[in-house]
Amino acid sequence: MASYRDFLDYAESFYSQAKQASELGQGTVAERSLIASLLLSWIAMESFINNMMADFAALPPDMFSLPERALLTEQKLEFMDSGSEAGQFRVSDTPEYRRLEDKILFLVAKFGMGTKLDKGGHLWQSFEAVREKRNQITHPRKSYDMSLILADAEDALEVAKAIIRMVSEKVWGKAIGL
Amino acid sequence: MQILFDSGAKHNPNVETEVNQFLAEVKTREQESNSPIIIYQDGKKGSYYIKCTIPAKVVCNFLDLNARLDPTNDASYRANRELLLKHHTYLRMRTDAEEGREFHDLIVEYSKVYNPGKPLKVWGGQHRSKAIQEALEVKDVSRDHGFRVYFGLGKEQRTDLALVSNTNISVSNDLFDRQLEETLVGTQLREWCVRVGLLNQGEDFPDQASRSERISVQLARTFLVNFFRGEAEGAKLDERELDRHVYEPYLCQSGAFLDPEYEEVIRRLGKGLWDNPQLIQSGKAFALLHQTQRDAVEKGKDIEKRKGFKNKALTASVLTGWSFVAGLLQSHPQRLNNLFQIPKATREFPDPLNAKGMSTFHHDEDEATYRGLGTRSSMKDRQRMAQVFLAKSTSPDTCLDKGLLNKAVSQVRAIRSWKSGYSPL
Repeated sequence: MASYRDFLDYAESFYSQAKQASELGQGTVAERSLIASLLLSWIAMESFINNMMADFAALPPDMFSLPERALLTEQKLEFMDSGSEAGQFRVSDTPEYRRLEDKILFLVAKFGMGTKLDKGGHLWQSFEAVREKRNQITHPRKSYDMSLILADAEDALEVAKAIIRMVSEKVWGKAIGL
Repeated sequence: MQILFDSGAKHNPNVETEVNQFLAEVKTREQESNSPIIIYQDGKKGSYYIKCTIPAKVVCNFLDLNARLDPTNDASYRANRELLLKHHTYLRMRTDAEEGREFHDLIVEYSKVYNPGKPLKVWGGQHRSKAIQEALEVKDVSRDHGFRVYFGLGKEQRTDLALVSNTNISVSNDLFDRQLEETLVGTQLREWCVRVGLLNQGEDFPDQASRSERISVQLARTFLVNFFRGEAEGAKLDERELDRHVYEPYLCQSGAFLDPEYEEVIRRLGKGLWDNPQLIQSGKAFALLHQTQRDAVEKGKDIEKRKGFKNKALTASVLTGWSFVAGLLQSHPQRLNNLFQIPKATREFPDPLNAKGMSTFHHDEDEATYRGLGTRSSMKDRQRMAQVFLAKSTSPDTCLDKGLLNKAVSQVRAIRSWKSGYSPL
């Protein structure tokens, strides 16, 4: 299974292709390479964050509260109204996927050694801009103008690396080489 | 013939008597030229020695290449490293000797306590001595060679001489370990390894572990130290607490000094250490795991016959992790029993330790150059392997598949983060 490093490499590779195609005036080739690059940057972040969540989910269950456990495992928290657990909450087997930004916020809040994530800061603002582009690609609509330029893919790559670095520093206490 | 004590040597009549005996038996060039023989004394250890020149045709019959650290103990094995008679350096030495090269500063001890027919026990220059012997035997070449002959050595002086002589030829730490073990501790560690099945009867620790497929002195010591460290730690933890810690298996130092942790275990537990039933049981279980892994790789169809795969159990991180957890679980018998069960092999991996799966393992925190689990001796890898065996101990029929490796390493990473930065609700 590819790791976040592989996804970043793929994203860089598609970015280079897009740049080259753009210089040669091959608009269609450039566009599809930009789409691939931007999505792969997002996937790299997802991969890194999901694996970090899985690390914590591997700990004994009672080390976390039920809502935390539900978030870590991306499973639904449900209220039992029958059976032996009636009247209690439990983490069910039903998947409930969470937004990447929620997972980042949780990891930093819980394991960031008391540091906070500055949502008004440059990094988070850039992250939200990349997320917007990514949503436009994955949920295309006639009403969107989905035009991508090289800078969008370049920004996505930089944001992915910066987010991975920031979370690893806050949670693991060390910056990883990218 | 005149025998004098050097100005830096304290007069010792016993040594003088031994020197006289030596000169009566071995004819040196100094005797022929009626030059005085001077007895020197080493300033650090107080050992007495003379310098002399002896022709090959005289000395060859007296040389003993199987010098022992403990002359009075028949269980004491040959102390020097194995002769490398096909090594290019040795072949060059032999050619040189055959062409008349004269060697100097060969280090020998005069002793008739064992093998009295060959009283010159070689401590430094065993390859040169062998080359001199072969040149005489094969080409009838006899030249004069320079010797330092030691007399009346005590155990500590002999070990020091062996270490210093071997330092000159840059031998491995494994040989130092073997020599120190026998001198300062005895033969018990080797006997313990034979008893549990980690060495065969009559087998000794290797003088160069990287070339051998046997357990080294360093690893055998490490096994013992970790068992007792783990045992002490486990006694403080209840069942629920076991999986909430990152443990730090220890790797004994190797080389010219006895590892302090090992020394402490020996001092604290005394002779009872070697008969400790729990330690013996764990040693046997580990030996069985090692043998099963070897058999699986040797006989398995779908696995590369790599030495590293075959001897996976003897890599530092695997051995330290396993022995620590074996100690840790002494207070938790059910989980100990689960640990002792050989991990199941599957169609995907035929060996119990899943050597290939370990070698391709990679966590997101690892650098791109990381070579996989159970390949290095770093603390990070030792911690991870301890967690792997701890996870294995949760049920009797667990196999070391990718899921278990992932879970164990995730736990190590997550517990570290938890302990350093968790903010409760």
